[in-house]
Amino acid sequence: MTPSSRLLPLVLLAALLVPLPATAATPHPHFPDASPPCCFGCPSGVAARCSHLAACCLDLAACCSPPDVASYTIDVTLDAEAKTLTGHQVITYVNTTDRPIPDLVFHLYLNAFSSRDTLFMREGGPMHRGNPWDPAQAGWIEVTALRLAGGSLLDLVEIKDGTLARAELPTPIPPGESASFEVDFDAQLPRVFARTGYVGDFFMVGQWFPKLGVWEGDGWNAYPFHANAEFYADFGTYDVTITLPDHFVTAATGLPVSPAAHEDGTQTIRYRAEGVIDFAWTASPDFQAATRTVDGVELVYLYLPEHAWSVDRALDAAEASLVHFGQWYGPYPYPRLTVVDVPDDGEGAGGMEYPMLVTAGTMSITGLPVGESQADRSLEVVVIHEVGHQWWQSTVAFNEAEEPWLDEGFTEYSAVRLIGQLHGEDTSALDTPFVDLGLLDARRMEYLLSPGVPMYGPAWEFDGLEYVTAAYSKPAIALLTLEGVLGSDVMLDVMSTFYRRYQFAHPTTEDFRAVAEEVSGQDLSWFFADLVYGDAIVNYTVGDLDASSVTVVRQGGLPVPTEVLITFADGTTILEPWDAVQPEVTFTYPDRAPILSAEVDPDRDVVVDLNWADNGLSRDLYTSSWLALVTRLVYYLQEALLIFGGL
Amino acid sequence: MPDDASFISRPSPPLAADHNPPSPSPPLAPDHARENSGHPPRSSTPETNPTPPRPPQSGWHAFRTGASLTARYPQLLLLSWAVNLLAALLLAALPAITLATGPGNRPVMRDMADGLDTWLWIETLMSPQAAMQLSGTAPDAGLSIGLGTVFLWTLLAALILPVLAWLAGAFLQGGILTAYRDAPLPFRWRRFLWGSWHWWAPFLLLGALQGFAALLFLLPLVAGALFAFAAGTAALGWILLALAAAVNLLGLALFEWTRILAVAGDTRDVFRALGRAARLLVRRPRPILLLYFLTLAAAALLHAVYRLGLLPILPLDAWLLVLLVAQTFLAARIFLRLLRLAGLSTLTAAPNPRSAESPFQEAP
Repeated sequence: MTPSSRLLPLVLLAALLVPLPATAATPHPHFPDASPPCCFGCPSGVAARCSHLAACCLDLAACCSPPDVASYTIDVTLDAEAKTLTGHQVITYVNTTDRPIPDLVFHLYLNAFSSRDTLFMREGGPMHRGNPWDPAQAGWIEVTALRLAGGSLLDLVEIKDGTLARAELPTPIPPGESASFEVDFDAQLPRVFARTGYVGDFFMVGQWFPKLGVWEGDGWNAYPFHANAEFYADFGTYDVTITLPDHFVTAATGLPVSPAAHEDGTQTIRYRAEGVIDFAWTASPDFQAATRTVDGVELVYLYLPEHAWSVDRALDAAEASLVHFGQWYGPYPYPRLTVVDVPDDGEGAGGMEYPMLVTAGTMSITGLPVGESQADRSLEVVVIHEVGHQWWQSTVAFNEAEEPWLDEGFTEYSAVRLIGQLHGEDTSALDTPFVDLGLLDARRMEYLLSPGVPMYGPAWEFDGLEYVTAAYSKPAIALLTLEGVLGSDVMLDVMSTFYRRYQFAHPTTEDFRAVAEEVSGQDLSWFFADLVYGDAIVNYTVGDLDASSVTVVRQGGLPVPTEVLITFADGTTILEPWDAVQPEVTFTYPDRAPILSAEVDPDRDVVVDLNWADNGLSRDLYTSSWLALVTRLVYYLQEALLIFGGL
Repeated sequence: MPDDASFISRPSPPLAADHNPPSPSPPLAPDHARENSGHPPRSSTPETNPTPPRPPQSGWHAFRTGASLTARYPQLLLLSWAVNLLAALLLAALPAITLATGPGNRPVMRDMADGLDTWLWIETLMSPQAAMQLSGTAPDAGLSIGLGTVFLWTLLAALILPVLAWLAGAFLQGGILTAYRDAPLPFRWRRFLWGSWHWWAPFLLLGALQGFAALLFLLPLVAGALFAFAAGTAALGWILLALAAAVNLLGLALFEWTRILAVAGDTRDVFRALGRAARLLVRRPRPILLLYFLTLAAAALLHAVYRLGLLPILPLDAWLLVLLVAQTFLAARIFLRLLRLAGLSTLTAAPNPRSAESPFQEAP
């Protein structure tokens, strides 16, 4: 490992100015042999550039720019009439493992939309987010040539389903060495379906090029395209040149460089992005742009004219996300973030995350168009969620196929937390004069449908509803419960440490467990063994209550540490901690005033509790509250009687 | 102004073409004769009216006269409000008792008193599912604290409510309209009860017709509007909703006008009265619709004051204050409804300016 001698003095200066926290001693997952200070650890063959020197030694991950493991230089032409792509790409791959790589495995995602018989279609059916798959407008990709850079042709053989293919290398790539390959491909975009495609002149081009899997030392981690699964890829630099008609407005992962107009009515725009795991782009002649600068990040909202009303709302939500997630976890690492609006008849392209670019949409959780009403916050929910993925997927790049609960769960936890702070816990999703709905309420409802489903597991092992629970709802609920047990400060410490440590890396559930237990100093088996991997559930309730004792009960096998609030007749209270290891415990107070009431988890921190309403018990009737409720019930009945009978 | 001149002072004659023999309450029969024949006495004859009011000449005059008539007969307001309250108490009894015996001892009651949060609805809805999940691990798992039963009783009350409203409403309306027809005679309970009983069956039939008509015409419009919103054609949705509101208003006017014509004409043949009401509504809609507009505008203002002005600042757990304000609001709403009925009743006293006939003298 060779340190950069030019940067060494600056690094040492930063090390003197900023004390190194204890967590910094943990090896970076990409560079296990690295030793602090951080910038000494970048292996040869990997571009090692310290972009934030002062922050560099705060933690290992902040030290180096993301590793260029798989970098792509792509030249692609869009035929806007035929909806086709013609591309040529050069892949530069660095073997950062200690094993030689004998072959290459490519994802050919667009082939998932080529017929009804693909794995994706069989698992997910021909309808996705309200957009039907149209066989007359199917999508596909064909690799027309694969060769070693400047060398011999390689034979690409389908592994399974048309979405995964393998090419044997004439000589393996040795550890620490790099190799380049050229790929020519043609692709037909589908009518918008499952995040990608076109509607009229609108194009959302995602999962569109032949893309390598992730070599993990003993083989390629790559799966055929499953309906529930998303993506997993190495970090790299993407340099993509797009040629398309000159009246199109575009946005993409990365920053635009050197746009050029041609005499034949086309234009060429080059985008470059460093340290990203994917590249997506969008184009439409109708796009309009609104921009802001947030903490040095250029925030762009690319919207369609019919959704001009959404500009402030989308930008406000994205700005709040950048600011708060940046404060909670760590700064957004890229110079630009683009939020893309999608047409009403192309909602299937909305609500998706790519590095530096996310898609939103103006459809409501109610199935109705959001409209300009502030009452329905579906737009904010989707923007905040997708921007959250910039931390929990684009930067901390989980394996979305094998452990979907990590990226979706962390992101949804962040979204529930933020939107609750911005718009109120009870009104964060829907705020009408008649019906309120918090995002947490919505997620809890989904969770209560199947609370026992384990969060851990590959995406394809869940059916549609289970996947939503396992990947989104339950993780959000579980992480909020963890926050309730640890406290907000410790939880944010856990999350920010995890973020810094695994920035530009591929952590797993066990990596998160290690960080969580290390930072909190607690054994979190109840969370990981019982909630993440297991199917345990819990309901807290008060069993018996008399003047001098109270028995609290844990129903179910999930022992979440909590508290019991006991109120006495003289107005005094006691908050008893309860580890809930025993399913039942009795608290006795022979020398105090008679007990009035007892309540387990009075602050409702245990969000995984199946029923909060039965958590407490009083020896007396809550008369005033009862009268308040009856008064209101009578009033509503009187109103209805007036309407129905003119009474 | 033709419409202003359309309702000039004239005593209400009997319905010439009413063939329901024998009329239980001949409008002009002397009291002693009616008492001898077993009919309840009419409060007074026109000849004995102390100061016959000047019948209204327009919708605005009907509104003003309706207001003074409603104020003149506070018994009707009190009775309507009392029946409304008692019926609601009757319906609320089971949920209220269950609430006291089940969740009444749970701290969650305090949250509910501040307003029913969504989480509680969700939890209550999902508790059977959660109980099923728990049943494997905790045989005695009893997630239900009685909230589900409370909601079931409330649901049952909601199902019974339209029937109760239909029965009681039809009963009261006969007496109320009789009292207004006989204005300005003093209110007499016996007369009121006779009117209620006499028109109960016809008004029940009319109420059923009204409900059926609402299902037939309103429901498709509202469903169509919802479908239009769901399909993304919001403009069509708003048009359909506006249409539904207009149909609702016309239906309300038609059926209320029918009841008033039936009582004013002393007929129980609601079909004939309905036909006449429809014809009159088409031929002379202006004063009636103006009266409706004024009373509905006043009701909208009342709602705005209550819902936007008072409700947001009312602490929901201050139950006595909430009770007083809510009941005042409801009484005001009933007052406006009675005002409309009284105003409509006074309109029946005016003849058609073009034919110089009373509305009740039209050919059957």
